[in-house]
Amino acid sequence: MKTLKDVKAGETAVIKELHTDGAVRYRMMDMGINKGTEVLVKGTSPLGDPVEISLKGYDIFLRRSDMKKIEVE
Amino acid sequence: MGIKIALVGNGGSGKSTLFNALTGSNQSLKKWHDVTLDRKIGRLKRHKSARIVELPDIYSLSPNTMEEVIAREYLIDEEPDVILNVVDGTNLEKSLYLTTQLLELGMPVVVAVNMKDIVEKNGDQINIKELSRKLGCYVTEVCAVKRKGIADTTDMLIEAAQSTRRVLPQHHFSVEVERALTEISLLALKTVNPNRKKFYALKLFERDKKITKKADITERTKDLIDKEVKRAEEKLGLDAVSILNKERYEYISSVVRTCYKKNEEKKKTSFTEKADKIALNRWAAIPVFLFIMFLIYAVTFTAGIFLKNFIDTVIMSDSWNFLGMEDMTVPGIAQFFRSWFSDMGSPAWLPSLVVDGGLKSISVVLGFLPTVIIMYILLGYVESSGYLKRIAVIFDVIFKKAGMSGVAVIPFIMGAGDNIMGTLSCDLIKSDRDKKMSVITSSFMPDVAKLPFISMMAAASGNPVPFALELPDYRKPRWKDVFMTARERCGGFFKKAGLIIFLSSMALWAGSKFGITDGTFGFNADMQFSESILYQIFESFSVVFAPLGFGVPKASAAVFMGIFGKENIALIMTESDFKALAPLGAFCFMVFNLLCMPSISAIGAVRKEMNNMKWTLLTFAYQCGFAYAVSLAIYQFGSVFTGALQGENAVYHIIGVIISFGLLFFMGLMIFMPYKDSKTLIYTFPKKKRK
Repeated sequence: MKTLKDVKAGETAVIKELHTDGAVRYRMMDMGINKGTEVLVKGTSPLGDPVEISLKGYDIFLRRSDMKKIEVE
Repeated sequence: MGIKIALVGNGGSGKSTLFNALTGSNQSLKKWHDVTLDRKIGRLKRHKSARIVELPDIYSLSPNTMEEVIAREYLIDEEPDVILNVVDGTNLEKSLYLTTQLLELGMPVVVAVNMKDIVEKNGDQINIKELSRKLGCYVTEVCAVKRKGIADTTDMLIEAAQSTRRVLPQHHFSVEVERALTEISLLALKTVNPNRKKFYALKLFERDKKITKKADITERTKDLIDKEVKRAEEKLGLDAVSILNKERYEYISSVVRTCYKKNEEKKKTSFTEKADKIALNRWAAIPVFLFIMFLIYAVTFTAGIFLKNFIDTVIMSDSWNFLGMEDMTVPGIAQFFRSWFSDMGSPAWLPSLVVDGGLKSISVVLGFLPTVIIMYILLGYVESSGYLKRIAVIFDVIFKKAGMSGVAVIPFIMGAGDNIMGTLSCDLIKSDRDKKMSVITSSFMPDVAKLPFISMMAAASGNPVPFALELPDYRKPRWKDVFMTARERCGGFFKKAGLIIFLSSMALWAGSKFGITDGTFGFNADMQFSESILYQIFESFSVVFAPLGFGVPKASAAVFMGIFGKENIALIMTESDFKALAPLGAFCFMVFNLLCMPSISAIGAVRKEMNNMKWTLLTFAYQCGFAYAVSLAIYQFGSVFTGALQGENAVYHIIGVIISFGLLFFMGLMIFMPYKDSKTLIYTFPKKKRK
């Protein structure tokens, strides 16, 4: 399974599935992270985690541990 | 009755700034039941009869955080006349997600598109008229920081609140969903206010537990609804929540496409981008942060301590020289009162009450104030410049393990200078859960005691949401806003911490100046401490400390007096008193005092940040309990080796050892238990009387 964590900086991916539940899942969706959303991985923060990604015209930082649960294609 | 407005928006949308702009100085602070969050209430500057309440940062009406639970409950229960929704104009697509949900509530909504200046600077265009038509609600453009568009917003709010037009959300869901929603309305929502039907139907569709409970429907109806939902889910191949989310975002995309024109020309890199190249650079980030924090730390503590000493001198000293000039000797306020009272020939207790009691207590509280004010101004500046969010990003990786926000690094640093300032700087942390954790860690508690407490807290504070942080553009803060926030925070310190510090200082005065001398009760300005009533009260607790090996009156009194200042312990327990305790007992006395000696000021600071007496007392009780358990274990195990088991009190020691084993096991369990968050969000809105 390829996840968002495996996407290199500068590359884009389309979200296939969210392997999360509860509050984590719902908050991701609120942020626009849902099936079919296109995301661009921009780069990491100074200490390596969280990672900056770009979607729906805005940038957001996500933790690697959460990105691992987002399946992409 | 006046108009009731609810101010709602995402974090970073400029909600608080807009609140300040709309209300000016007509604001007051209340709090939400049982959480650290403040509830700001104000009156519109341009329409005094309209009340406005600022709700916490929210992203959705399907609540994931305590903040969202509170905001949603407020909107449903209080039914404001109009909702003012602040929207970040530079991030329209995501911000409108909340807007669509607010519109589903069927209440009048005014959307204030904020950050007008940045949108224009970027060369982007937002068609406000078209946006208003598409959304089916009032839309206005503002720039809260520069106080632009405030009058228009006020007028629009009043108009919207007084309008009798029915509010209908303009967006529709897919055929399958709409069909299910109609069915649900017919099945369960016959008696619901027609304006709210859409909202309740959507929540039942999402299987929202709280709303389902509130709707009070029979099991049979529930099954029928479930069938409808499942049918839609099967047809669309997604779960109910995902369906609604996706369709709302699709609708928003269509709105944004027609109303928003992005400047596609390659513009030169913005200041924010340039600044972040340094502030978020792999090598430069930490040095830049340390430099900024060093400045804040140095200014806060040097200036703070200087002013504290100055206040002390002015109030309590016999005399001081104005501006250091030899011939300008001014009597201290204390001395002034003393000589005034003696001229008046007043009884001995009066000057003591005013000077040793009142003035002394006031000077303790005032002594903190300069440091607190300077710290809040400087940190407030960092906060509104946008750099604080960068700090959260940089340090997240370190603090997430303890379930805390990266901003918690600031209380850590300020706490190194003064515990109390560390606790007070937790004000920068917005989320209730993170804030509670940081208050505990920054508090007076010794590190060994914090670990088990944090894991207990984590289990009780609800679940964390995933870290998803946006960085706002850097801004030059408006001093007026910085001062307003600082004033509010200092006021909180005065009211919540100051009161505790003042009252306990007064109690200390009364308890130590009254007592029994030669068999008669009375006042004596130079009362021996061992004759005061305070001593009598404290020593009666000595039996409590017997299992710890220092159950003697003096040691007991020293422990309690330590709360008013560490130096008191040494004043009461002289060397010979120490020697009178067995070596093991003396050691336990020291351990206990080391682990458990929150000062009154520290308790006051925790009270301010927790915003809640229950949590404050819990923190305090926990710390004392921890210190007690550790000292008990040391004394009881130690006694075994010093041969206590052969003595006449052997039975007590055996019981003590068993209890100690139990306590140690429990603490070990708390420390080594894997960090786990609870799955449920518990928040009960206090029942309010209906007007």
